[in-house]
Parts: sequence; structure tokens; C-alpha cells
Amino acid sequence: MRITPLVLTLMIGSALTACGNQALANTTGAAATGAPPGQALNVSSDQVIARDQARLRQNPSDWKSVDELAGAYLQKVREVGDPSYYPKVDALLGSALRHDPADTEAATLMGTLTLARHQFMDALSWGNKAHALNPYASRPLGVISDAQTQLGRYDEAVASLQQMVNLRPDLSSYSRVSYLRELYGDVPGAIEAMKMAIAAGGPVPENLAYTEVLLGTVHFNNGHLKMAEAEYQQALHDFPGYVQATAGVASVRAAQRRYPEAIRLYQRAIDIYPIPQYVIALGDVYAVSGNRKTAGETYDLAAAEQSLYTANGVDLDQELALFNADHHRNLDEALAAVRRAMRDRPNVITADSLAWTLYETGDYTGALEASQQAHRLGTLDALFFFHTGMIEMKLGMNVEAKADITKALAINPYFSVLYERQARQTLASLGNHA
Amino acid sequence: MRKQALIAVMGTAAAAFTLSPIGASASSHREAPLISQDPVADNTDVYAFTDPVDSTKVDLIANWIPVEVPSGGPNFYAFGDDVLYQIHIDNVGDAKDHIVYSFQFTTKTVDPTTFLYTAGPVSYDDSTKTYKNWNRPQTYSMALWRNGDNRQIATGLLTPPDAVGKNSTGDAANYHTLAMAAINDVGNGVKVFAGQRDDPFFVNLGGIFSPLNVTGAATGAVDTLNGVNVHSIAIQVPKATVKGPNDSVIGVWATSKRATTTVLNANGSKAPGSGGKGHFWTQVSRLGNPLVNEVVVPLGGKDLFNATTPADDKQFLTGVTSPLLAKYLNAFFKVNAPETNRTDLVAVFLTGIKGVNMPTNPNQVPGDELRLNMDTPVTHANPNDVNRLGALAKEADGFPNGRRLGDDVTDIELQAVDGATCAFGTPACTPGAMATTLGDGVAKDADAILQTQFPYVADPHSPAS
Repeated sequence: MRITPLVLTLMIGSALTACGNQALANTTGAAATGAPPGQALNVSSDQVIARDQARLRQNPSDWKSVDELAGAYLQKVREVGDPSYYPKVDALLGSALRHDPADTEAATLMGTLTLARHQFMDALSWGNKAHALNPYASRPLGVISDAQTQLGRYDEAVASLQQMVNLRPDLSSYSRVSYLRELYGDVPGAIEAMKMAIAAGGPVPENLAYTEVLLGTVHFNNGHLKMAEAEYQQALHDFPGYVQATAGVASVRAAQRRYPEAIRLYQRAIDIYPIPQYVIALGDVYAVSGNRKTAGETYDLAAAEQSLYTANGVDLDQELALFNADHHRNLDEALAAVRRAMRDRPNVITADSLAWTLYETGDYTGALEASQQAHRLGTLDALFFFHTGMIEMKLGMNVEAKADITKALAINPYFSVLYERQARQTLASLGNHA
Repeated sequence: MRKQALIAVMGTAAAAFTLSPIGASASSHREAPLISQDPVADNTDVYAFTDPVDSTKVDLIANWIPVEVPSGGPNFYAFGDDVLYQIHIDNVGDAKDHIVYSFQFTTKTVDPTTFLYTAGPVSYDDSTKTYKNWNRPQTYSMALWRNGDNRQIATGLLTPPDAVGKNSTGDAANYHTLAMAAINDVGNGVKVFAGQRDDPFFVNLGGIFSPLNVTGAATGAVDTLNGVNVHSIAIQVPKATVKGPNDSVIGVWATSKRATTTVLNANGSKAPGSGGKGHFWTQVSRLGNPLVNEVVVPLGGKDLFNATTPADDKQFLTGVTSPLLAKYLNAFFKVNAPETNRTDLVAVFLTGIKGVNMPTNPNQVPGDELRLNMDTPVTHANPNDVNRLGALAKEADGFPNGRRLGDDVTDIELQAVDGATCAFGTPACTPGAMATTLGDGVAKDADAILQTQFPYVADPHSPAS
């Protein structure tokens, strides 16, 4: 699929509606394991959706089916990247909870939905509600811990997650342990926990593959392209055609400066799963390979897609701000958005986005302050260190700037397709003048 | 936790493989999966019966990993190397385990440069006691814990490869030879087998897709588990080694445990270097009597059940004496099932039936255990010949006195809930209208023939390739 305004119209008009993507849906469940189709217990999300819709036509107050349909819609978004399911999920769960406020499954799924929409305060309260209804269930604790992490309430997130993993050590809890360890700067511990998550596995091949992609991304973020690619390839083996793994390989190709391959792979991912994250990454590869015009068009597409998400209730303030700051677009809007994000999810990533947006707007003192907040957990994120170094340079703190940019490149020499060259050039200039 | 079965009867509608939504990743915000299922640690069924060939021995079989669809790849099923599998025996009647068999698995990759499961036709080499051309061999250790004394019985025990198709593991006869090489004699009269098998459970879950008829011989009823496999651990042990001090009744259940881990060190920034494997085991699954989660544990109580032990089961007493299933059956099918004061079901699920499989211990503690009186004579030497209704059909060695592979526990429990077991209660209740006829319409595991010797469970289904 060529990324053009015409295609965008088509995507919004058709692919991004409820009809979804048959080809991809067929890769879930039975087909993905090479099994004959139609195994009664091994069903794709489309089958679940059709079945539950049929049941609800017969009996609209079959509340179990209401919950299950909501869950299947959420899975569908995962498969085709179509946020227009979110309002439907919201309505289904709302009706289930009006019927029975003690419906633990509906409350848990509300938590999942609000997390997906980045409404983290709401997610926290749904998680708490579900946890109160069933203190022995593990998933509500996952919702709570995710929300606390996003809200920057890290001590609480660690405590909730400890409760979750003590109750039920499995793929869900191990993978969250990995993420918190990573945020706290413990990369070997993060890798170990993600390997435990992968070893534990799950009933759906896609879940296992997603966890492998997460491990690949930990490796990538620490500059280990070969190990990253091995995980992405393992995910493609375990769940053939997996879009997240395809995008992972694309990021490795971009880091290796094999741009035509990276473009081809990102396009393949976007054809199936047109989320802004991949479209932006594609635009960046166009930009660094000298195709400024296509890059600009691609960024416009990403911006249009982002508005599709916000129209369906997804809060993208932090993501929009970073995108705009990174690409020197709409800086006033970016600043307003990232300040809202600091109010709604004051976590270390938002603090870093605020720092970078302030840098772009020329407020270097404010930027440095925000940057210090981003470093409060000791996260070894190359982008954080690059941003800090650039800010310090503007403030004349050349020794610190040199140290931080050096650190960024030491953590991950491939940390940004857009900025790795600038990091090296800046470091070289600092070497002469520091 | 055989969670699928009877769900339809109870008016619910969960599929075995509920999808696991995690939300779209519209951003760098990572949304890790939030799954409620863990098949590798999911205990599906437990069986306990006197060995039909050698009446001095008892066979205990526990199954894990539900609904394994025969497959030639890319994913293969195996026991979890990170799961502690256990079979517990209470031979005192105090709802505590006094004997525990533990199993831990280790998978090796022979050739790490390939994803392939096999490197050609697999054969068994008796001289080296290994399988040739199997790239992912899994072995296991077995330990015996007896009242506080734990000792390793054996290590490096063989498991057979999965049945992955003609080109790799051969035709049915060839696969059988491969699998039987993995029957391990570990001394003291104990045999053990761990590996892929046909799922011997049979049930019609038609209600997931259409209204379920449980009112007898439904036409067109299909065993939903036709053609799918599980992973079994089967042990055969001399009765004398598991018999308790008072009598020959043993209460059996199985569990699986996973290692928990510390998110961060107490001082904040760095997590421990070790995930604590082997140190902080957390029980994630438990099973004694079949369908206990569907019949007596209240909706939403499954997580609590899985996290606790038989000694805690008085927490579910109300669910047994006033089973929700009786109310549902009455509401949907008008079967006049007695709804309250079901002391007979307490006998079936929690204590054993007096004079049949109830421990003689006067201080017995009720708990969900599959109770077998090892003194009850075997009715049939061939496990394929059993009357599916077990003890309800006057075969005293059938469920709920232990559980044989051919016992139709779905129908037995449906009929029990409708009052077929009323006579075992104090006072006796009055059976409902369909106490001898309720059923899901599936009478046997038609897709496989049980073996007539250990491990009895049939060979797994192979993918059509």
C-alpha cells in the first residue's frame, strides 16, 4: 500500500471500520498453529465476535456474552489497529455494569479499555474496583499496577505488582516486572524477567510473540541489534506474519541503515496495522534517506491518524507532543499538550517529552528541570540522556553535555534514526570546545 | 481446573481460549498482555484407580495443558521447565498431604541454529537411552516427599516427543514404540510416564455454540475434546507405600506452582540478579475432584480455589450443600433437584462416602480430594469395559470412589446434583426427576482406545500431514 492522502481516505473509510482485516484475523488461533480450521475451542477473534453477536441478537441480556464481545473487540483493535472499536467496547461494558455493578470481568475490561485510551486515573479506579470484587484475581492488579506506572506513582506500582506476581507468577506479571526493572535502570533484571515471561507462555500464540517482541525491544534499546533481531525472528516463527515483529525487524534494518528494506517492512506493517507509531517511524526513515517530500506526506498521515485515535477517546497528548517536537511542528500546540500530559500522567517519559518540547521552544532552564524529573528512577534510556545533553549544551554546560551524549550513545548507538547523527556530530563539536 | 465443562449448563458462555485483549499500542506506552490462562500450568484432570493388571498397585494420573490441537508446527506443547508439577496424597484424612510426588522438567536444544522440532525421523536408541533426531528433548526429575522428608527418586527421565506427524514421529505403531520407551522404572516397584497423550476426558460443550441439552441422550452430541491431546504425568506405585496408618483410603489432588520473584530490592533501584527460581513457589492451579469449579465452587471463586489447599475447603461448604447448579438445572430443565442441605454432595466432594471411600479417622477434615479406597476390588481388567456411570452403576471401583479413565464424570455429577447420590446424605434427600437420566449425550471418549497396561491413557493424536 502506498501512503498517500487517497489511501488515508480509503483507510478511514473502509479498513478502519468494523469490517477489519480478514487475512490477519485468520492468522490468529487455529490457523497460526498450523491446525485445521474450525477447532471448536481454538477460535479467532472474528469467530468470537460473530458468535457473541448472534447470541446477543437472541438474548440481549446474556451478560457473559456482552463481556466476552467487549473483550473480543479489544483483541480486534490489537490485531488491526482500529480504535473505532473503543466506543463500542465502552457501551457494552457500560451496559453490563449498569446491569450488575459487581461484574468483575466487566470492571477488569473497563480497566483494560481505559488503559488503552490512556485514561490512567480511570484505569486505576476500575482496577481497584475489580480488585475489591475479587481479591484473588490477578488481572485487576495488573490494571492497577499499569495505571500507577503511567501516573508516575512508581512505589505504588511496585507494591501492586509484587502483590500480582506473588498471587500469580505468569506471563502477565513477569512481563510487567521486566518493565518496572527496566524503568529503574536494571537492564539485566529486565531481560531475566522477560525471559521468564516467554518461558511461561500463554494460550494464544500472539501473546507469546508479543512478549518476545518486548524482549527484542529491550535488547534494541540497549544497542544489541543482533539479539533484538533474534527475538523478532523468533516471534515471527511463533506467530507467522506478526505485525509487531515485522515492525521490530524494520527498526533493526533502519538502525543498520538498510533503508529500502526498512521502508518495505514498515509499509508491510502499516498495511495491516496502520498505527501512528509505525507511520512516524516510516516517515523518519524517508527523512534520513533523503526523501524529504515523502517523509512530510507520511508525517501528515501520522498526524491524521492520531486525530482518529483522539476522536475515539484515546489521549495522545504525550505522544503528539513528542512527535511535534521531534519534527519541529506545531510547537505551541505541543507544549500545551505535554503540559496536559504532565497533569494527567506525570511519569518519567512525559517528563522527558516536556523537556524536549521546552528545548524546541527555547526554554532551556525549564527543559533542564523537566529532564531531571525524567531521570528520577535512573532509567537507562538513551533518548533521555541525549535530550539532557542537548539541553545542557544550550545552557553552556559542556562537560555535562558531553558526558550525557556519550552515555546516550553508549547505551544505544542506534537510539534514534532521526537524531543519532546529530548526537555524534554534537559530541564531536563538544570534543573540540569543551 | 477444568473450566470449560458445564459452563453452558450454568448459563455462562466462556470459551476455553478466551482471547486476551491488551489494547492497541498507539504509542510507546507498552501494554503487556493481561491473560487469565496459563495452559502449561493448568491442571485439567486427575485420575486415581487400582491397577487393573496388578491389584497390589495404584495408578495416579494428572493432566495439564488443555486442548492441545495436533500440530506439525510452528508451536509444540511441552511441560513447563519453570513449573513445579505435584501429585499430593492425604492418607490420614486430615486434609493435608503426607506424600507428594514432584516433577521438574528440563528441555535441551540439540541444535540451537534451527527452530526445527526434529531433524528427520525420530527413533529411539536403546543403547544410549535417547531419542535420535529429536531437537528439543525434555527430561525430568522426580522427587518423593514423605511427611517432611524429601528425596530425589530419579533424574534425567525420558519424555517422548509430541506426535508431530508421519515424517517426524512416524505412523501410529511407530509412535507407540517411541512413547513406550519413555515408561521409566524408577525402582521400588514404581513406574512413571510423562508426555503427550490423548485427552481421556469427554464432554459435550455444544452449549458454547448452541443451547445444550443435558436431559439425556441428545442427538448429534459431539465430544468437544475429540481429537485433542493433553500432557499426562502417570505414576504406578505399590499400594503398600502409599497406604495410611488407619485404612486404605487415599485422597489425591494435583497442583502446579510457579516461581514468584522480587520486583525490586527493598532499597529501590536494583532488582536481585536471580529470579528466585526454585525458592518461592506459588501455587497457581489445583485439582482433585473433576468439575469442582463448575459444580460446587461459586462463580468467581476459582482464583481462591486455585490459591488454597484442601484444608481450606470449608470455605466452599455452602456451595456444596446448596449447589448453584441444582438451581440452574431446576430453572432450565425442571428436574426437581434438591437445592439445599445436600450432605450427600459433601460426601461425594469433601469427605468420601461412609463405608465406601471415607477415611475412618474420627477427626477427619473435609477437603476436595479425589478419594480412592484401594481395598475396593477392580470390576474390569480392561479399562475400556467399565460402566461409564461408575459407582452409580454399582461398579464400586468407579467415580466417586477414585476415578477411572472411562468414568463419565459429567453425567455422574449431573445426576448426583439431581439427587442420584441422595442416599449417602444424612438425612437422605429425595432424588429429582432425572437423577438417573441427566447427561450431556456423550458417553465415551470415542476418539481413542485406552491402553490395557500402564500408562493406560491412549497415544496422542497426530496431525494429518
